[in-house]
Amino acid sequence: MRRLLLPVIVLMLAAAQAALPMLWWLGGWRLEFLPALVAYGALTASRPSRAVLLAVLAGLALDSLSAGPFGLSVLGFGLPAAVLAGLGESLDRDLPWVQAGAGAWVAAFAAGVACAAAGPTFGALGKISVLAMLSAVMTPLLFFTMELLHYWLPDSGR
Amino acid sequence: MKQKEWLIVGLLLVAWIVFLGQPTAVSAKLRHFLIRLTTPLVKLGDWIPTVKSRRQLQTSNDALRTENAHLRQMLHAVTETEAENLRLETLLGLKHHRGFVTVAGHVIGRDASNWWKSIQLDVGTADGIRDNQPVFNATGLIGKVEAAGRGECRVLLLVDPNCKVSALLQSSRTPGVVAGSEAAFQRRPHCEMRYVDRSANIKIGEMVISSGLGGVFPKGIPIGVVGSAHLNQETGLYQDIEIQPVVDFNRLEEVLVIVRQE
Repeated sequence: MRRLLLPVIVLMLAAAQAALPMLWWLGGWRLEFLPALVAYGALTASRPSRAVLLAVLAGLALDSLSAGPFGLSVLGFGLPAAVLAGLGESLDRDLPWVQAGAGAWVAAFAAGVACAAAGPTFGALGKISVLAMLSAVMTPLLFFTMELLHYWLPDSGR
Repeated sequence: MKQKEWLIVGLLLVAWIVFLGQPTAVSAKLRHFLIRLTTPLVKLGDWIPTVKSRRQLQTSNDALRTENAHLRQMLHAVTETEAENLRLETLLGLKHHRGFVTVAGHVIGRDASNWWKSIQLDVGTADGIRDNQPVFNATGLIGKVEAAGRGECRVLLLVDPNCKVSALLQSSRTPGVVAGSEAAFQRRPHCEMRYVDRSANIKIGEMVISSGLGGVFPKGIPIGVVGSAHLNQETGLYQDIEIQPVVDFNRLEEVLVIVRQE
């Protein structure tokens, strides 16, 4: 249970991303949950290698449900997760703005990698910025939800 | 982080970059394994709203939609054949390729990424689906199969910039290449037709159909209508046309995959 919680949530959030319709009225966006989860994993993991492992799983899950090159998101999530995990002790993960910044960082990096692979397009920088902002909003909410989950499942450690 | 752990993470990421550029059987197996894990979860999304009413309606709806798709596709094919016959009536022995063997599939998921446009179908190699087979529905062309697994496949949509279709303006027979728009912000998914003769007389609202060149997409499948046209800014040699697809890519439910010609 304790070891399976985050991997199961990764698969569920990846499936949710694929199941939700695009928000064309907002300019063709899709809500992304995985960058927030990768940021959560990187800030709360007991060991950096676990944070990177979670990012790798999130990247693979995302790519298995996308037409992009398989494994691309491993880079997009893995590198920023490694950086965050490296900074782990110097960051106060309980501060909402730290959580938001971490989510924005992961989302922006992953979007930048994907954009470079898909071919930079007109307005791509704006798209990356909006995705980072959406993730910045989503990450503190995810932290709150995960805290609740940990409260309800007392033996589920990180 | 300890220096040793950084080194391991760094080496793993470098190894991954090398691995990424070389599609291998291992990565294909890993991908299909993950798809098998996530597909039931994606399908779960279909069940969440009003489980009972959806299940009750699904059986009869599916049969009617499939029949309707076949009939409307036949109508498009007949219209195109009629136009073709008028042009080519003097030629004898022209071999027509109109009949297709199709497999109906349900859309079970969309692309999880913001950077590609694709859908996931519940049919795969077990149903005769192979890579690069064309996909359409009652109204027109949707895209092509990009990766087929045993019980599912991923279809690259016509509105993705990586999906390129050789096309014709239906009345003027002017050729060009249709691909998804590269604009990052889109209120409605649309495509562009490039490499169109700069002297061509293009009418707004004119139908664009697949030309059959290239061997992937059969001739005569409706793609969209001309929205606007302008001279290519970079070269000035061609016209670029904005195409409004005839297919509503936001409401795809059932599609047909052409598995072979009769």
